[in-house]
Amino acid sequence: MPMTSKDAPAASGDADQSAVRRDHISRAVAQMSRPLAVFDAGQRLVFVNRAAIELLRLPEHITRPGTTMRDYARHGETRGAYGSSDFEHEFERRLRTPRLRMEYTTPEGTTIQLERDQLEQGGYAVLYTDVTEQRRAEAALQRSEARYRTIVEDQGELILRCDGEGLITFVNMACCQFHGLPRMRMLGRRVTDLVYEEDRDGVAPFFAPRRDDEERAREIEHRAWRHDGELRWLRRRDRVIQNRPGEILEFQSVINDVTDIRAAEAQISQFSALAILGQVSAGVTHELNQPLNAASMGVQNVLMRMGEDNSRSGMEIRSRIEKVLEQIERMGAIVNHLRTFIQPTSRGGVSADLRGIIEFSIDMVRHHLVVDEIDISVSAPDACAPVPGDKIQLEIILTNLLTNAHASILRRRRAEGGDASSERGRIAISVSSGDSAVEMRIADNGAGIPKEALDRIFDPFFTTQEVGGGMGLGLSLAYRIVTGLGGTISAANLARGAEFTVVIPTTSKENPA
Amino acid sequence: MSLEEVRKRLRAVDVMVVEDDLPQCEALRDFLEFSRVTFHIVHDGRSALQALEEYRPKVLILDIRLPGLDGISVAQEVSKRADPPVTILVSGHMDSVVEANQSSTQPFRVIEKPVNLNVIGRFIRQALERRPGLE
Repeated sequence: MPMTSKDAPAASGDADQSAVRRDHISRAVAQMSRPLAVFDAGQRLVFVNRAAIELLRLPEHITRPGTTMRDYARHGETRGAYGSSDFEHEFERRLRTPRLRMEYTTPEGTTIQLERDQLEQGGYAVLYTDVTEQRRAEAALQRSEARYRTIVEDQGELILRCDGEGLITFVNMACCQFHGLPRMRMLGRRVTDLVYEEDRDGVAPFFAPRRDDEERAREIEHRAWRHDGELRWLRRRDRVIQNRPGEILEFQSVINDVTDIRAAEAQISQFSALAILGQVSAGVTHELNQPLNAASMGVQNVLMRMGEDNSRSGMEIRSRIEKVLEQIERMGAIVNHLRTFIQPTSRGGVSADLRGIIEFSIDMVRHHLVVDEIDISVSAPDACAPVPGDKIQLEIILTNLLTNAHASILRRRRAEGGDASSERGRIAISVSSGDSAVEMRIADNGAGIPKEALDRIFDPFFTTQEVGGGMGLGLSLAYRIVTGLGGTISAANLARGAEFTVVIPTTSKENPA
Repeated sequence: MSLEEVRKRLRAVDVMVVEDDLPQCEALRDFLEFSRVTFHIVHDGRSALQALEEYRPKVLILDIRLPGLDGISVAQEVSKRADPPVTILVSGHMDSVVEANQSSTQPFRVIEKPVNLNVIGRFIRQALERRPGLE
């Protein structure tokens, strides 16, 4: 205690005063709730307060001033302060340690923290703290943390916690695996860094203080780059822990990769839409055909009754009515086309004019090709051997392959980050007509087919386009039609782009038209 | 020639139409009148089979989708009779016709809606020429 040396040279009047002061101090220390003991330079007990006596369960004879530090420590040994180590050896070692910090647990389970400091004038001051509750809580936390970690590591859910500033404080293994980063490189990073650039603005409000009346848990979907460079959809449920409005302790996020679910949902809704369309279309096509037929026949009757009226006005009226008839016929063709799209494989027929069908199919998509500056070339013999399948079926095959090529070229352009420097888009159709089969090749200089997609590209609902892009039905429809005609369709990657090959056996030999 | 036979011959027509949709019936009537052929129109399959005996048409224009007995069943029934009329099925779409042809020994003439009246006219002319009138 520093006051002794300071007070020593004081005058007699001061001596009374300092005695009073000393007395005051020793009373204060005696009543202090913090357990405390003081030893002099001769390693004898000067003073131990009531709090220490109670905490250490010191018997009366140990509390007397003058008790040796060794006897005092001997008692400590019976209370577990030396654990299983050799007392003499350990006592000497501790004595040589100027600032001793240690903890021990008594037979009753009380954990005592000991802080012993050497005093300037010789001797020691020892402070004790009961840390039982604190250690117990920490151990419990550690246990639950370990359990928590096991739970969260075991599932595919990405779990992430971050502080009020949005800096990551915890990530589970699934989270590390998804982002392809080790845990240490993720901790301390800004949580929004893990969100896809374009979605950050939408996610940011999540990491903001909430008023008391606001929901503590929220859900949002956003995109993020997976370690393999694939953009995935994540559904995150965030929970904010705040002790009072405006002061955030922690955000806890549970994140699921919902890319496949989203795709499946979109496909299910498209699929059921298609199924409904199929059911409805049979009825609708019939119902539409009736008035169309009546209108068509009515107009034809008018034309017939006008007969040979070759006057100027007669010819003008005739040409107008013929235009009406053309439009009615066009409506009929559309209705029948719709049917065929729904039930593409149930038609018969033979097509001889493959070149005309190719030209017509190109016309169907020409607008898109022109807008996106894609060149298309056709190399086909003027006459082809007739193939099974009617015009509409062959058109479906071709338009789907063209649409696919178009999408692939746009995909490459996006991947190359702009269209200015990119190679101009090109689609080439080539047809060769043999004795037994007609072969059509549709090649593009687009993004090509991902290797893992090659096997699945003709599966219904498989698509390499982003969710909401292609339905994933086009190529499978083409596949169904081609195989239904006894032909084959295959896909392969070129040095640049992809090529689809359709082979359809001719009808000339086996099934004459 | 019995009185009965005379009556039947008086009733006999060139064309019988079986069509349930009235606006189409009206358009066909207009066309057949203009074509100067005799005809009779009924609106369902069973009436068609009954009327067949009475009107003995040389050409039967038969809608496929009909209330009660459908057009294909009527056509199959007609084809079993002695001296059947030339039958033209009129279809909203080809599918049902392809099915019908597969299920029957006798393929039918089929035209798809919306029909080209010139095609029907040609059918009728050919049928009447090939089978000159009984009168």
